[in-house]
Amino acid sequence: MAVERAPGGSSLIDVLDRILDKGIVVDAWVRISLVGIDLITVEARVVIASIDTYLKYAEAVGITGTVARPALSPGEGATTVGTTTTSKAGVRRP
Amino acid sequence: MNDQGKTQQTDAEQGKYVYCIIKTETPRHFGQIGIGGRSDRVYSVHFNEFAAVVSNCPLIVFDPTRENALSHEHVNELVMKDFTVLPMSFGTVFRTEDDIKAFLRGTYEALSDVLQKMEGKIEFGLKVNWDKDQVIREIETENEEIRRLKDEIASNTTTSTYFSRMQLGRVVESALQAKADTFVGEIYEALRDAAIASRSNKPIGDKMIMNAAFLVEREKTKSFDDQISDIARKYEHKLSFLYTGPWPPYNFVNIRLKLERAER
Repeated sequence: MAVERAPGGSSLIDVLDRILDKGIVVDAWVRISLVGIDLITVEARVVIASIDTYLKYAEAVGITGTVARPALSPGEGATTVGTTTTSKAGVRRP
Repeated sequence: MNDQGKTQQTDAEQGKYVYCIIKTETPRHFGQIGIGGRSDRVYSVHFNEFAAVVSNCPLIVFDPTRENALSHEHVNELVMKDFTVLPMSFGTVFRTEDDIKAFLRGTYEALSDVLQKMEGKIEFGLKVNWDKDQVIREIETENEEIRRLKDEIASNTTTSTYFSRMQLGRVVESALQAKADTFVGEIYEALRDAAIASRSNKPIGDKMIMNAAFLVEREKTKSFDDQISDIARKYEHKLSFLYTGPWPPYNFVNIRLKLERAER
């Protein structure tokens, strides 16, 4: 029996599995500080902590699960390919 | 502009929810499908050749409820029909369009690099489950050492079988692992030519032996589908497959950003 491909949005678990901590991730601290502290509109810099595109094919047998694991958090043993582009993010309010 | 919620939230601060980054210089609208259930318009905010796909939202920390998570994903899926997307993780809110432009400027090089690598590619998910009890029964008939240990335990009525049972457990466990590795290895191998890259995530629960994501050329979707179907047929009575997608390349884009206070 052929297996059917289910569209992306059809399983909440699969959605959450992806959107919560993958893709372009802004430090959780920033999200919180958005609400309380007027940080992003004060002068601030967007700093890239790490970039990785995982463009490799998992070597399957024996090492599955260890290949290309996501970095847990920046600086925690991440395979960092490129780093530190900085710039001013935010426009000062009058 | 924002007439909604004028009762108690008139003065609630407004922000911009960001769904993904795309490459286009032409302003676009994607419909009134913004997160938060207010039918906010989803549109693009531009810096040079890049654009963030955003909608207005209250300046809050969004909870990943079913509705919010699916809104986020729905926008991404819609945008993905026309563009290569770099997905934002859930809940990214900026205050103003100027902040978003500054963010695009600040991450410009990283975005160029990653977007170029992801151009024309999409992600598919594949989870593979097995019937563990059935596999154990198979192993017990195939594996000589396991048969011997079981006989030994069954026939021994005088002394303790503790160590034999311990050993049996270990042998079964490693036979299971070997079997899972073989299945998983064969599946990866069969998909190697159809995919550009793969990522192995931790299996969830007892039955899952593989939880993988594959990056595939959009144009090769059909041949990837066909490969999956072949595999599903091959392992029909042994494994079950959960095949999903297309997804934005969440598993292959990992850009971590921090915000630092700048010196004045």
